[in-house]
Amino acid sequence: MIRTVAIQKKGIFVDGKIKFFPSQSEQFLNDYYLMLEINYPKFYKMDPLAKLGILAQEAMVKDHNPFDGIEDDSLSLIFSNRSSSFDSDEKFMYSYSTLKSPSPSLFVYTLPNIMMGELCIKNKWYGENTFFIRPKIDFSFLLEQAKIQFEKGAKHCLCAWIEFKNNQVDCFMFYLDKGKNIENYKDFLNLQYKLATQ
Amino acid sequence: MKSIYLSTVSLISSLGKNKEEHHQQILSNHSGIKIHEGKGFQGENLSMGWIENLNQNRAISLLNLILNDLDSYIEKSILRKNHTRFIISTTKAEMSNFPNDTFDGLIQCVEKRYDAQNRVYVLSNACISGVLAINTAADYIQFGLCEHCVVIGIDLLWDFINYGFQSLFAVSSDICKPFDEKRNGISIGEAGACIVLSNDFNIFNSFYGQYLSGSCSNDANHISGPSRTGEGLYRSIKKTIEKTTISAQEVQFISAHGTATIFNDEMESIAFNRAELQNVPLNSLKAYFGHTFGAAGVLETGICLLSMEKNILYRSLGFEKLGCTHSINVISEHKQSEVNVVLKTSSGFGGGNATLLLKKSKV
Repeated sequence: MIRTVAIQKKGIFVDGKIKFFPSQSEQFLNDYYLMLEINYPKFYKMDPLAKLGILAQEAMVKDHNPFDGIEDDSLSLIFSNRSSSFDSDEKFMYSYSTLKSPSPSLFVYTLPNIMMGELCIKNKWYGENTFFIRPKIDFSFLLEQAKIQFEKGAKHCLCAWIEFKNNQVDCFMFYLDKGKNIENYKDFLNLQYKLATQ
Repeated sequence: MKSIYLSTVSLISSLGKNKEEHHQQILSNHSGIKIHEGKGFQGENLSMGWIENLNQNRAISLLNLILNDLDSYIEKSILRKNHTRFIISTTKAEMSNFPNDTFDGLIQCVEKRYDAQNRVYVLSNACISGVLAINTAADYIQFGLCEHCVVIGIDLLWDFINYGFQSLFAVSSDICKPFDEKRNGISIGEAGACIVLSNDFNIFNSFYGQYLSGSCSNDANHISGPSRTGEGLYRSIKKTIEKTTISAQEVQFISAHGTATIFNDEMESIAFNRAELQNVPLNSLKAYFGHTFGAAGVLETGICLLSMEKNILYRSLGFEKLGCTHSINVISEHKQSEVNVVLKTSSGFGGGNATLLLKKSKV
């Protein structure tokens, strides 16, 4: 089974179909939280990257939950982006250089893997997590990493490209069960991504 | 399963600029951590492991020192070929170009030197990055994606990191004291380290060990606080050991993470007990050069290889009396000993735990 979610300027796409349109507000991530009827108040404390991770995963489970009944350590997370935790980095720098008060609650989000940690906490996932910085979204790369995880014993993979910079969002997440020739999904994924971004 | 070997190419920290200097300084019980005037928030003094004499762009300067070591250790034709990959393990390196791209300078530096376009990967997974990068490199070799993999750990101290850890009230006023009852926080540090993994030990011209297995596991508990039960670390240790024919009883030494915060060290003591490793001699190296974040796993695995090479268990500097509720065997004096099977562990923000197992290669 393969599932995809894209959160892009045009809205939230689930398995290639648009499901939610964005609000025009600067708080569009919080608006998505309400649209998706999520009940996880910790969401509001998170940085935009972690919020995107939660939103994408919630959008994926809404109609049909692929994570139902999986073993708690059988899922590997492989996430990537280009600008690491740019948004939180910038805000944390502002807190010490301009506000003269370095904010610990911003500082803890200045690592890109924190969003995977948030997903693991929310879902009680104990499997492998790896975060890569890449020049651009690259499905061959993500599928190669997923293949390694499957060879090593994982039964499912959740892969993502999640970029948030200057209030611009570029998020694509896919779920994959262990199977043969997963590299063949590359064209399918590229098409799904194209649908959501063009 | 293929046999995978690994050898240390470069170790640069506040303690020394190569393997031998680290060995001598550790034996002399020296620490590279000292008070640096004005490095803290609003000009406060801050205790840290700082590398002297780097050029203005400190990250590139340090990376070039590492690559010089690499050039003199591994044949350049191997580094330039497509069957060699590079993994850079870092959290923030030095984002001196912020808000421009974070890691482009580092990537391009390696790409240009070895004509390595599309062969350089950046792994950024908080404090477990280094161990995870070595595990990833081993996977690449195991599953035939490359024959050799160069792992570079690099992280530097600058205002961002200094003020951040100060804001968490996590920094020890003095040299940190891992696992000790008087421990009260971390010492921050910076380092550059490089380990090469390969399926062919003939590419190495000095000591190498054998990589047996590795894994990682999330605590699923808290983004910045260690698990109260050591769940992720316990699971990762268990997975790593179970992948091999080695049993927990055969592990002769643990190079622990040991940051010297109250909760982290307590968590590790619980996890080691759950894994029935409480009697295995262990150390934390953090009092020698501080917590070097994205570089830590590479630097400290490098020191593990040094332990194997020199047949010595290095003492856990800063430790006097155990300050954890669960009993563990912290090494309090340097001790000559055969070191054949080593477990390296790391834990970090985001709830990550990564471990790996090494064996001495019988020549």
